[in-house]
Amino acid sequence: MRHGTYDWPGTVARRTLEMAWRRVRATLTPDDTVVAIAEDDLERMPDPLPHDEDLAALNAHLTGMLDAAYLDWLADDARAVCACALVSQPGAGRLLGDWAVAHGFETLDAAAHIPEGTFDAGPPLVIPHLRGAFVRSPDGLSGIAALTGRIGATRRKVVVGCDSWPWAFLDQAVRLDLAFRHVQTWPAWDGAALAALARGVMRRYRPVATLRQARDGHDVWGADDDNDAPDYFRDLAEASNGEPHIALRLMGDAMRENPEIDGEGEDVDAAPDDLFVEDWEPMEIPGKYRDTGHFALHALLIHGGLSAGALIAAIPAPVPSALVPALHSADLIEEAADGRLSVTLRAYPSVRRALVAAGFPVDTL
Amino acid sequence: MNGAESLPDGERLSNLFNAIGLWVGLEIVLILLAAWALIQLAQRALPRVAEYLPAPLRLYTLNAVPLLRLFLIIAAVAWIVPLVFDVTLQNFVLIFGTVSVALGFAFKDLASSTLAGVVAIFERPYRAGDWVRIGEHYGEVIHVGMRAVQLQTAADDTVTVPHLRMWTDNVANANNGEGTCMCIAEFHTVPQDDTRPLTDALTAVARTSPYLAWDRPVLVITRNTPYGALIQLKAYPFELRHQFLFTSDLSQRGRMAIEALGLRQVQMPDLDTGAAPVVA
Repeated sequence: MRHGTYDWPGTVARRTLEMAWRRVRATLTPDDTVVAIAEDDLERMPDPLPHDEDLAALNAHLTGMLDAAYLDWLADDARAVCACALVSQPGAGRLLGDWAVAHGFETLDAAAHIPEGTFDAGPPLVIPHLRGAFVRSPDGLSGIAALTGRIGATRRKVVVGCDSWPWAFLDQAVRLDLAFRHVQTWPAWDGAALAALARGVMRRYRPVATLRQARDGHDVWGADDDNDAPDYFRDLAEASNGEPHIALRLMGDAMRENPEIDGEGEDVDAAPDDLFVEDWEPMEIPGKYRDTGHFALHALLIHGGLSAGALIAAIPAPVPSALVPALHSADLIEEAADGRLSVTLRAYPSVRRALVAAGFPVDTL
Repeated sequence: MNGAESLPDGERLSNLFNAIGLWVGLEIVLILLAAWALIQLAQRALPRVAEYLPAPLRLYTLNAVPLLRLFLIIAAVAWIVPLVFDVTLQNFVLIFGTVSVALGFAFKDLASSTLAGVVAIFERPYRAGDWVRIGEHYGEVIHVGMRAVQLQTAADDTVTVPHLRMWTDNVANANNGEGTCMCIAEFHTVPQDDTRPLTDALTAVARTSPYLAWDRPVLVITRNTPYGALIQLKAYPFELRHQFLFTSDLSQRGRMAIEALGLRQVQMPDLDTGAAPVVA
C-alpha cells in the first residue's frame, strides 16, 4: 500500500478507557503503590512463542505480498525503470533481503562502498536497508545524499528497503522521497488478521488448548467462533501498531500456563493444557533516566542500531554513565554480537508511545 | 413616578437586600469555600498534570486554568447575588453604579489589572505555557492570575507582571499557543569570505540536531553588516523547553561547520588594549 496511508489499528472503547485511567492513575500517584495482580499465580512458558516455524509461516505470507508487489514490474522490461522504496516498521528484519536472495536478485549493502556504474542499466537491484549508510551528524549525511542522488538517476530497476524511523529522518534531512517514484509500506494487520495468525500458531503449538484471558479466564475467541475480531486481538493490533512480528512477540511474552485464578471473576473450567494471555502493559523507561533515555531510544530507532560510544555521541550531553546499563536492564535495548545496541522488539511499541507522549518527531507510514 | 421612587430611603435600602438568615449565611460561606477549593484544586492539579503531557496538550491544559477560574468566580457570584440582593433592574443599576464608583476611586490599578486579566483570557496575548517577552523580561508564562501574570525566566527568576502592562506595552509571544518556537543561532564571518557554502552546511547542522522538529522549516539567512556577514540559522525545536539547549546545539555545531569550511569568524576587539577586531 502507498506510504502515508497506513491505517493505524484503533482500539475498543473499553481498552481506551482502561489505558487512559491507568495513565491518569500513574500520573497522580508517581510513587505507585498499587499492588498488581499476583503474577505468582501464572508461570511463564518454558518455550515462549513465536517459534521459528511461526515466523517462517508469517514470512512466507509476507514474501507472497512482496512477489505480488514487485515481481511483475521487475520482470517486465516494458515497465518504467525507476526506484521504489518499501518502508517497514521495525520488526520486518531481513525480509526484503531474504526475498531478493531467494529470487536471485543482486543485492547491495548501502553501508559499503558503492562502485561507479552500480546504477547503470542492468538487472534489478535490491538494497535491503539503509542502515549504516548515514549518521545523524552534518558529516554523516553526505554519503546518503550522494546515494539518494544516484538512486534518483538510476537506469536499472531498484527496490530499497528502509525502516520507518530512518525514513522519516532522512526524508526531512535529505529529501529521500524525491529519489523514488513509488514509496510503499505494509498494510496494517488488524484484529481479524492477527486472530487468524494466532489460530495458526495455536494449531501448531497446542491444537487442543484454549487460549484464555489471564484476567478473567474467558476464552479470547469469545463464545462465537465466527467472531473474526475478538477484543484481545483488536487490543493486540493496537498495541503492536499492526505489525505482525511485533504482535507475535507481544502475544508470546504475554502467554502463561497453569494459573490459579481467584478473586471476583467467574469460576474457570480450565484444562491443564490451556494457555492464558495477560493484557499488554507498556514497558516503562526508568524514571531517573527518562529524559536522556528518550533521546537515546530515539537515536537508536533512527540509526537502527549503534555502538555504545556512537550512541553517547549521538545524544545531547551530559549522558549519565549508567544510562545504557539502565536501559539494558529494563529490557528496552539489546546488544547484538557486533556490539551494536538496538531497541528490543518487545519494547518497541512502548518506546514509540513514550516518544509520542514526549513530543519527539516520530515515524510515518 | 414609580412605586420604588415614592418609598422612603430606608425602606428602599431594605428592599435592596433579602433577609439573610443563618442558613443563607451558611450557604454563602459554603459557596465561597467550594469555589475557593475548586479554584485551588484547578490551579494546583492541572499544572501538575500538564507537566507530564507533551507541549501541545500541556498548553491546552494550562490554558484551561484561568478560564476555569473565571467560570467558577462568575458561577459563585451569580449564585450568591440572588441570595443577598433582591435582583431587580433598579437594584442592579444601583449596586453596579455604587461598586463601579468605589472600585474606580479606591482600586483603580487593581480594577484595571483585573479587567485586563479578563481581556487577556479572551484576547490571549499570553497563555499559560507560552514564552513571552514583556518589557525586558522573557520567560515562560507559569501562571495567569486575576491581577498579574507570572513568568519563569531562563535565569530561573519568577517575574510578576501586572496585566495592566498589557494596555501600554507590547507583548511578544514566541509560540502563540503552539508547541514550538523559532530559535536563531547567529554567526559573523568576515566580509571577504564566500558564505554561499554555508547555507547547505548550516542547514545540515540544524537537520541533524536531536532537538529539531522535523516538520518545520530550516532557514539560513545572510545579511551584510559593517562588521561582516551576519548569518542566522533559524529552526524550530520539537519541545518549547528545549529552546535554549537547541540554540546552544546549533551555535556549537554551526561554529564547527564554519571552521570546517575554512571561513573566518569576526571577533570582538580586545577591550583591554583597544586593538582592532581580530579575524579568527
